[in-house]
Amino acid sequence: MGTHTERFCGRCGQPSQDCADRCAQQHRFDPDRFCTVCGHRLDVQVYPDHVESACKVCRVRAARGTAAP
Amino acid sequence: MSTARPHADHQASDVQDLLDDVEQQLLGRHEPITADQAYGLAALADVARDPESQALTRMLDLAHRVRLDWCGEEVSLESILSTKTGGCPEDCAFCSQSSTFDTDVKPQPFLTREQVMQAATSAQANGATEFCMVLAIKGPDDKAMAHILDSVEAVHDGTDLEVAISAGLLTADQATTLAEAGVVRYNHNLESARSFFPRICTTHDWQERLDTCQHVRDSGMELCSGGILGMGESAAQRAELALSLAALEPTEVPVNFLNPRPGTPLQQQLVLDPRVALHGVALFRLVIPWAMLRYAGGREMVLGDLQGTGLLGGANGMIIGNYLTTLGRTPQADLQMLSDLKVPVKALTGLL
Repeated sequence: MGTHTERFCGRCGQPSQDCADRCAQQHRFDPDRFCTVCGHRLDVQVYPDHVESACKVCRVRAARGTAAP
Repeated sequence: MSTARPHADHQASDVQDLLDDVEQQLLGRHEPITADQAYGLAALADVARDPESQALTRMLDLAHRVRLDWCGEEVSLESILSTKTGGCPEDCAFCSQSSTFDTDVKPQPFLTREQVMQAATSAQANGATEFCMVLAIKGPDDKAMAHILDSVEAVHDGTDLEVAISAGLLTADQATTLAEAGVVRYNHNLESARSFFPRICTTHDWQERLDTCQHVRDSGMELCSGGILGMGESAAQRAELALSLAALEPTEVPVNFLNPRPGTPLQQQLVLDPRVALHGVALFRLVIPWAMLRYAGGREMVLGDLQGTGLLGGANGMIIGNYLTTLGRTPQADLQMLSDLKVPVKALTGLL
């Protein structure tokens, strides 16, 4: 299975070179809502101890045990 | 020579007199405070901003002693789960799940029974004793009610958690149905003072929220009702909200702090000063002394390193883990904070 190239910021959906660290700080209490491969909005479900997301366009799925620091 | 007190001394004396009266009322006579006292405490919000002032310190100290006297030492932990996300038809100005606003929250279908079970099992393993399932709806239709009842059954079957539901406006019959299904507590926040609510929502009114709260009380379920601080309300309106909540005699009062969400009408609202937020926690404790006062959404963003101060300033409950659509701290970080503060946790075994 091939690997996916991450070209987009998961927090704002813009090309990742355009937002740098600004999005990480601005959205530090948000899960990623955009697909890092194609930039489309993700289906996101927040659970108490993790987040699951899926992109209906490029079929990428992710499950992360994320929480704000 | 003038006998008038210097202005600063006069103010400090007034504050101490008020706090002494409130202490006597709550700890001496063990009775709730009056509306005048509540508004007097609310007026201290401006003074609370000043780190040189002792008003906030004194108020937090009193709120902590009141909490211990009226509620005991333990802190209650709850996890919450959005079982139906986004697409809400209401236009509550703070909410990223409203379909009225262009936000980043994409509507999702109802969670399956298995998904609910897994979340509840994890919540219990992480120390929660209560589990609130929340739906972004105006009120439950038949489909939503069937989902709720199935989810309640799933959580009851697989865990020892107390189940709470938050599903919008209820009829009296719906409240009875949920009570009969074993729902311990129903959440329906008043959100704000009646006088401020028209600025927050136009698709339903504050009286409808009050009516739902009354249906919950009448059904025999415990009422969980609180609000959001920092939406632009005045300090007096926070007292107005607290007094309205007190009149409902809720079991639990969640205190949320606004997290301005992109795309919502409140997206540009300045985040509440943490000292004013703490003042709000203490105010709510002093107006509603018997209730479980639960830190809810926005705690991490607004209070930051001052989160522990509120747990020694009136709060005796927390939501742990993530929220409905936003991230919280890890349960382990919150459990460590409670351990560091030496605050006992309700029904917790082997995790600390």
